Amino acid sequence: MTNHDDSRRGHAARRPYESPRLSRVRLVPDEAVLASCKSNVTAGPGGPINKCAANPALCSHNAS
Amino acid sequence: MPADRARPLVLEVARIGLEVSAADPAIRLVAEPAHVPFLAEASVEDCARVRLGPASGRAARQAGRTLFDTGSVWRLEEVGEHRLLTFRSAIFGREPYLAVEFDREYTKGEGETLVGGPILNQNELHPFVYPFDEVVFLARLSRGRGVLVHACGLVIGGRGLLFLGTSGAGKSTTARLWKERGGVTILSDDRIVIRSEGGGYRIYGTPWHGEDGWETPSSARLDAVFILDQAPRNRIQEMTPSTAVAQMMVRAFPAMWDQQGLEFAVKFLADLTGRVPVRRLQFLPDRTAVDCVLDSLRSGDLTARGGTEDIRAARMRDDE
Repeated sequence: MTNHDDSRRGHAARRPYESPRLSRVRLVPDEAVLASCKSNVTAGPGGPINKCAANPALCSHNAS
Repeated sequence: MPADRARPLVLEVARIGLEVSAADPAIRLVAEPAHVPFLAEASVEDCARVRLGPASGRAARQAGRTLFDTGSVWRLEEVGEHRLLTFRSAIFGREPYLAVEFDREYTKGEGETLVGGPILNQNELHPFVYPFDEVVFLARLSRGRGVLVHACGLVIGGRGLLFLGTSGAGKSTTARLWKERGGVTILSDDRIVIRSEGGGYRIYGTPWHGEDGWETPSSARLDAVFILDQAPRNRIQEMTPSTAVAQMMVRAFPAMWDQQGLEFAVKFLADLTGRVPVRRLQFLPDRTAVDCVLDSLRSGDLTARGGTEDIRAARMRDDE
């Protein structure tokens, strides 16, 4: 009886079937792995570190 | 911020702690302004402890197996049973300006940092310099604790709302618009931690990357999630569960280097989308966007659904 109730409960909680499909989503890799210098707010005594000085094109200081 | 010599600093975010102490008691520990509200006065139950000393070249001599390499700022290596995090900058040469060796669960670490570098300078140790503290929190969150997302989080009338978006999506604009409305607490306009608690979800402010000093070490029950999408008019749209998970995943910071951590994040977000309404918010960057969300909240439209008809309707909208 207990097993029966558990299985019914599990059935009720189950999500409706959604057939698989492929969709493309945009990922910003540098942001996703904390590899871009987001801001200088948290920089220490050495000032903004990371890539700003070495490669200003990659700097995202002004991003949202 | 001045601090007592030899006294460790404990950063607490989402009830998770990171305690940093200096190997040399003469070194003074200093937190950056955004981190100060997040410093714990009392001990934190779930806390990692790290001791930092001046660089000796040991990290450079250690040969580890690379587990993950961002190609720029930081790298994770396996050294025996341990995990070695190294941080570099072209400004400071080829050797890491910071290297910290952790146990596999990231509960205890021993590290060295370059004298005259961004962390240790003139007998002051600034341990919470991007991205060290954030990477450690990501690693610890990925061990079943929660997920860090790229989002503006706010509290209105005790209800927690999340607005997710990558850079440029309008998170800070959203924070400003809601702040102008009043009666709102901004938890952060850039990084929010979501944790599963008490049968629901809770969102926590973080000290990372926010603007205008809006970072708040506070939390709220999560009531709704919006994926930000700037558009010519305001509209709130449902999404299929799979689309909702995918859209949240690409605006989250899972432990990309760790299969277990990635699987945890996917399952966490999949469970969340079944219990908390996740909607696409097409919005104009003005106060009408706030009114649009408030109208939805008042009308009761924001409930977690997921029935067959809901999915069919949402899929048609996804395909539009």
